[in-house]
Amino acid sequence: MIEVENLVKRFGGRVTLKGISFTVHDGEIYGLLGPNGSGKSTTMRILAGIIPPSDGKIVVNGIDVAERPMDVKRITGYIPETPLLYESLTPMEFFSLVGSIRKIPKGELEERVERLVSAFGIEEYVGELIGTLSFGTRQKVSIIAGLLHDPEVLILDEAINGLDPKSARIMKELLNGFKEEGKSIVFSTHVLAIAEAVCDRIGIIYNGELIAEGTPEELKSFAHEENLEDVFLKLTQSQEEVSSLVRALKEAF
Amino acid sequence: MEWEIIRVLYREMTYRRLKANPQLSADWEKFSKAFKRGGSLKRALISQSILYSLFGLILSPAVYYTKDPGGSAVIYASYCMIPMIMALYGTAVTAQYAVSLGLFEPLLSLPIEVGGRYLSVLLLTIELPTALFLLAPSVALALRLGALNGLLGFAWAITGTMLGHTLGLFIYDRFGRVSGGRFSGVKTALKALGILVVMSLFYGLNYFQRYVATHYEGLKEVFQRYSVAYPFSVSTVEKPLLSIGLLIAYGLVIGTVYVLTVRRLWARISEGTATGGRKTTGRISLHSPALALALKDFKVASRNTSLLTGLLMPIVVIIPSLIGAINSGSGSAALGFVLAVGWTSAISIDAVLKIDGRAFEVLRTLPLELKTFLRGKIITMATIPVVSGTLATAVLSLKTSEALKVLPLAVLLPVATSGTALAVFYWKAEEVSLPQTTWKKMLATLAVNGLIVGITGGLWYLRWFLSVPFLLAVDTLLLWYLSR
Repeated sequence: MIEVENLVKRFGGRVTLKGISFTVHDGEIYGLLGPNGSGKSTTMRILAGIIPPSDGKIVVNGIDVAERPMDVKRITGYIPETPLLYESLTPMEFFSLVGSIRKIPKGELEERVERLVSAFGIEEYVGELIGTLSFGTRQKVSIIAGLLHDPEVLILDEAINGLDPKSARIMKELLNGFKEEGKSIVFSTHVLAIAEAVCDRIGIIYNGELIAEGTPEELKSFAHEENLEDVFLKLTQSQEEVSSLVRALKEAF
Repeated sequence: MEWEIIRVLYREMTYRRLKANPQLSADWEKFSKAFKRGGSLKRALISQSILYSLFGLILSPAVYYTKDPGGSAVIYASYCMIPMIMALYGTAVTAQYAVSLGLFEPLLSLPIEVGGRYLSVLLLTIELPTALFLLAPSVALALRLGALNGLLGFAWAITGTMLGHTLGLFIYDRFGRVSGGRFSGVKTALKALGILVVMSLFYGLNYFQRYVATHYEGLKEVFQRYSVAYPFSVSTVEKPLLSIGLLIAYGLVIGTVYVLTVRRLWARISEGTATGGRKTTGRISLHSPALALALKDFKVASRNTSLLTGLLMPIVVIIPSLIGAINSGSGSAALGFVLAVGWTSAISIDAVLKIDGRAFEVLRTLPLELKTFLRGKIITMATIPVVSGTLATAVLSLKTSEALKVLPLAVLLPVATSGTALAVFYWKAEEVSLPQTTWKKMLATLAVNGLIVGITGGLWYLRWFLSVPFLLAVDTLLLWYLSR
């Protein structure tokens, strides 16, 4: 379970997160939606223990992130939006590095690597330098590396965006499998259809504040809208703005 | 506009380097201060120029006090090698680092024909003033040979820097990409060794020059015969016409290679940093976290000639003392060599901290403690000096059994000096981070390492076996500090 309480993040005079709170239960996929610059990635990076919060409290499976960030990293799988990998290593060498640092027993690691590499269909690339691989294949390598230690908690920051439809489907199936195993999953995306299909509950973050939270159905009913895209635009006060921008663009071209 | 792009690139490089330091990036005030200090190109150039002028002042008196004007010219010529080697090393390593940071990616989609010039000018902006201010005091004193001679000396200093810079760009262009494929590690090592051999040739030239300086009269004829080769050519400042002719010839050759290389660079940067086919059979191999990190460093470096050259740099620096030790065959000469190995092993900290590049962020997502990270880095830093020092000392012991006495020092001293460098650079650090390579830290490292090397040498002369427990104590203390 992930408990986020009054999370604040300041960068100099700018407040990126203005005291957001939410809870992700065991066996739940929680979607974090929001426009660019709303604070999604900052929230994800704080949850993963990569950057510290300025204020507030995060407890992951009973562990306070501020007090024991290493322990949180041990049980967390973080998959960033842009795959950051060692370009001069091969995927297999990178998995070995991650496995060594995470101290995963060799048998377990070999079995998981084989299963995940086969699931994502990158068998033919595991011996090639990561720097020579396409963005999508790198993203798959990044996802596999984030899952190698069978994490109790998963944090996916727009991690599905670079995947082809087949791999996105595999990822969705994997997430559902993890959910059934009782893992807590936080998931941020711009693709509202994926969020609607995958997430049990959704939090909409806007200007560093959590402005709405609920199941996709609850959000639609709350906003009196038919689909999640309209809910999103209405709640982030973008409907009028988008309409006027579209009009202006049509006039310009 | 051009200058504005260079200024932005420099700021961006500093920004990304500082961002990789969690202690700074987590504290906006600290980060802003560090960025304001480090991100200003003007400020960096002024402080570096002052510092290098001071170093230059230390170098310069020999140029003035040599009785024979020919001797002054020869000594000045030997100094001209320093900015050349600095420019070569700086260009090869920093070009790799700057590109790996993704510094040029925002420019790739723009209609830029010769974008490589931005990389070149960025590096030159960092290197050229350094070289000129290092030699400025010597140039000023070389004016005693005459105003024209002094100006020629200045022109040769610029030529030497451009030669080093062009060679560095050439190395990056030809070998700077990460290469895969079968035996790629061996191929990269051979390339790096080739570069080091070329660089070592300059040492040979330097030795020859020194020899010439002391036997000037007798060897004047030989000296003149080879005046076409850099840095001998620098000593022609005494003969302005010949010197101008050689400067023009060098300018034409360097200029042509420079233009051709810079034209190719943009394509190289655009294509990405990696090339090569199937690398491994793809088997999992697990190690302790620290060893896995060090092996990762060696794998990354072994596929990248620029980085490998940076790691092997301490070996090049110690070649003169190795030659001295082989020639003399005495125990004290072997000690001098081992002390030189220890003293120079800290040089590679710059290359070691640049190995991770942008991928450093990966490490911050993993449960990696600072002590484990530092253990990995100390293995990366000390392995090459320890192995090369031990092998060379073992070979020296065939000539003199006295060398066996310094064998333990060949193992213990590089660990102490590498550990000192890491302890200084990570002073008060609490998280895995990439610290800035500042001059304060460099000077502190040199000072502490100078003390360790000095005490080791002093104890060896007092009672040779005393240096071993001293170094054992230093190593233990440092390893304890780094594992805290």
